[in-house]
Amino acid sequence: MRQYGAAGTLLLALLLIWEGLCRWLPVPTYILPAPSRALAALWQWRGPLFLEHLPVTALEILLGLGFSVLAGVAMAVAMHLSPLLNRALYPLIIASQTIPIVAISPVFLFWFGYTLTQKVAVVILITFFPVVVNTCDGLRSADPELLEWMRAAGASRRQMLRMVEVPAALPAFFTGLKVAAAVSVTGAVIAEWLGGQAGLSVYGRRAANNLKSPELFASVLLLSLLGIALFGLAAWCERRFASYTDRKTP
Amino acid sequence: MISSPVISSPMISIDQIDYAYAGASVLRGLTLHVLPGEFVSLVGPSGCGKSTIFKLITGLLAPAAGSIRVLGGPPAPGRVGYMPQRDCLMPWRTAVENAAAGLEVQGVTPAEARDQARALFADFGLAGSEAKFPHQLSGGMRQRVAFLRTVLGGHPVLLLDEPFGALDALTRAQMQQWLLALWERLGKTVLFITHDAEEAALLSDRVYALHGDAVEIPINLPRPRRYGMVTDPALLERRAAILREVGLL
Repeated sequence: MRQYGAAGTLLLALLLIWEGLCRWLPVPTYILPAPSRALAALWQWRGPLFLEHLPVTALEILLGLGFSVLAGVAMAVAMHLSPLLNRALYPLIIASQTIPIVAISPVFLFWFGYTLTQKVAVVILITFFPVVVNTCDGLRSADPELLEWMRAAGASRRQMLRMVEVPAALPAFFTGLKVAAAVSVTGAVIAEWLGGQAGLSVYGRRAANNLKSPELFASVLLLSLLGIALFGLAAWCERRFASYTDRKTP
Repeated sequence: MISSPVISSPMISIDQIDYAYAGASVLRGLTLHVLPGEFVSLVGPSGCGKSTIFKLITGLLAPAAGSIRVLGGPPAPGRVGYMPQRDCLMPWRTAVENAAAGLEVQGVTPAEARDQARALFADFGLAGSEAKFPHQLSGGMRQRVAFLRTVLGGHPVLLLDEPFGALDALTRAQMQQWLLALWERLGKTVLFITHDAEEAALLSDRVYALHGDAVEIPINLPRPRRYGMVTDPALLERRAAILREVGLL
C-alpha cells in the first residue's frame, strides 16, 4: 500500500481543491459539479446504477476481453508457429491500429443492431491488438541459446513451445493484458454511446442530455473504478502466474 | 578385430569433415575421435570453429563433406548430453526444476524428473539451493546446475562448451577441482571445449589444437588429478605444447 500513498494524497488534495472551487466560485452545477454532488448522485441512483447499468457494462467488457485473450493468444501462437501466417498477418494487425475505432464502430450497428454483440464487438476491436502483438513479441523473446540447447537435447517443437517459449512470453502477455484491461472500458463507452437500453455510458449520456452533470460524473466514476478493478485483476494474475519476474533483484 | 568392438569403437569419430559458413571455410579436413571413458579437450582461439564441431555432433548442423559417427550412428539431437557456453537455465524455474529439464524432454514426468534431480544435489555441491531461482545463484552454482542437467540426461557422452569460460579465475579453479573429482566417479566420456591451455592440460587425457584441422597432443599424466598439479613441471610442459600448437609460443 505504501507505493500508492503519494498518489492517493495528491488525488485527495486535487479533489479538495475541486470541491473548494465549486463551493466558493459561482460555477453552475451543470458546468462543473462538486465531487460531493457527484457522490450524492451516485448514492441517490445507486439502485439503477449498480443493479441495472454496471452489470451490463461489466458483462460487455468481460466478454470482449475474454474473447480477445482466447483468440489473441491462439492467433499469436499460430503466427509464431507458422512464419507464412506471421508474414501475412503481422503487418495487417499493425495497420488495423490506424483505423479510427470511433469512426468504424457504427458499422457494428448495421451488422448487429443495438445488441450485446455489437457492444462486445467494439470491445474486441480495441482490446485484440495489445493482446496479440504483445504475446507474439513475447513468444519471440525466448533465449535462442536455450532453444538450441532444447533442440540438441532432442526436444519436439511442442516441448520447446511449452517448456521455453510460453513461459518466456508470460511477462509480455501480461503487459498486453494490462493494456487491454485499461482500454477495454473505452471500448464499452464508445459502443454504448452509439445507443442502447442500459449500461453506464448509456446512463451517462442520458444524464448529459438533461444537463445532469452530477449523474454523468457518477457514471464516469463507476467506469474508471471498473477499469482500475480490471487492471488490478490482470496485475494480480501476473504476480500469481509470472511471479519470477518480480524477483529479478537478488 | 580381436578386441571387443564395444570397447575399441570410438564414442565420437569425425573423419575428414569440411564445413563452411556464409562462403568462408570454418573446418577443413578435420579428423578426430573420442574413445569410451576419455576426457578430450578442443583448444583453439575464438572463431576457430570449436562450437561448430559441437553443433555438427549434436546434429544441429550438417557437414559439407566427410563423415561423423556418434555412438556408432549418424549424429541426431538427443544422442549426447550438451552443455552450452552460457548456463542457459530457465529463469522461471528453480534449480531443481532446471536440473530436471533434460529428463522432461526425454518424456519423464516432471515429478519423477525432479526427484531424480534432487537426489543428486548434494553430490554436485548444490545442497540447500534446490528451491532457488537462477538469479539467486552465483555463476559457479549456475554452472553446476547446468552440468547436473546435462549429466541427468543419462547420455554416455557429454559435450561441454567452455563451461567455465565466464567465471572469475578463482571460481574457475574451484570448478576445475570439482569437475576432476566428479568426473572420476561419473564414468562419462567428455569432449570439452576451452581456450585455456592450462585447463585443457589439467583436465584431459588428450587435447586437439584446432586451426581448421586438428593436431593431437597426448597429455599422459596420472589420475586421479587435483587442481594443485597446475604448478607441476610435467603439466607446465604439456601446457607449453598446447600453446605451441595453437601458435602462441
